[in-house]
Amino acid sequence: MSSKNNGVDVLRWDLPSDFRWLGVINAALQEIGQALDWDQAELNQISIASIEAVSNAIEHGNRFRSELRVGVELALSETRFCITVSDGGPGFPPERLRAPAPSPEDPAFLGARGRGIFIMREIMDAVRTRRDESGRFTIELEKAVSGGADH
Amino acid sequence: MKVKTREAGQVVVFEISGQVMGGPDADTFHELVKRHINEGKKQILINLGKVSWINSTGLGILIAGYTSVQDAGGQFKMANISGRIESILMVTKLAGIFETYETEEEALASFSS
Repeated sequence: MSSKNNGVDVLRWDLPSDFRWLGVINAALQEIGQALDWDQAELNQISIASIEAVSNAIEHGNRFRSELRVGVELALSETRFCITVSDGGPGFPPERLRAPAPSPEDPAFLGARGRGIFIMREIMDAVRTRRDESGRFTIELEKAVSGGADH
Repeated sequence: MKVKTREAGQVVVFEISGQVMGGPDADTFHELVKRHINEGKKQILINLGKVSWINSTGLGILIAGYTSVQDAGGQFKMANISGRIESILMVTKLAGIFETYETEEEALASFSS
């Protein structure tokens, strides 16, 4: 589904909680990146952060429960990219968004988990979390994009 | 995620394809690594050329494999890293931990005999 408001294109999906559907978002991002002339490094980064957010919602939010859906909304303009992902899980406390970045000198650096939020925060300009009006946990990632601005 | 293994001299090549996303794949991969270590095959090359994408949980799979091989006194290297995987390794600072090569041939040549 798509709509346009004030020069911002909005695309929405309501996905089952299954990793197989990540390909839909990935394919859309590749198409969008080409259409809006993002450079490859920018597209790589946006794809990494977006797939991280959606896969977190499927795995940690909805815990692969087929009856729970993952909402994904992309808001696109010539200069900004925003992805909003919602799930039916407990979410995580906002202070985790402010946790210091793991350092290679830290003995826990090679722990198997805990990098997802850091990846999103490092790549994107802004990462926000909230409960939406229906109580769903929502994470919003925003980044300025340069490609297409001079076309 | 699918994993095929083959031997190239003393090195076991793990050819990974598909999405590296964690879930049950993590246990399967780790068991496979441990099995090779227990058989004395501690020179492991991960070929990521057919990986469509990887997330943070998938990185955890590779880190667990790396740690097991290192702890056993072996070598764990990676080859055929796409731009996207390179980006995620840079962001997470894991690029400074993993030894990576552009091609499998270069990686194989780098293993000590």
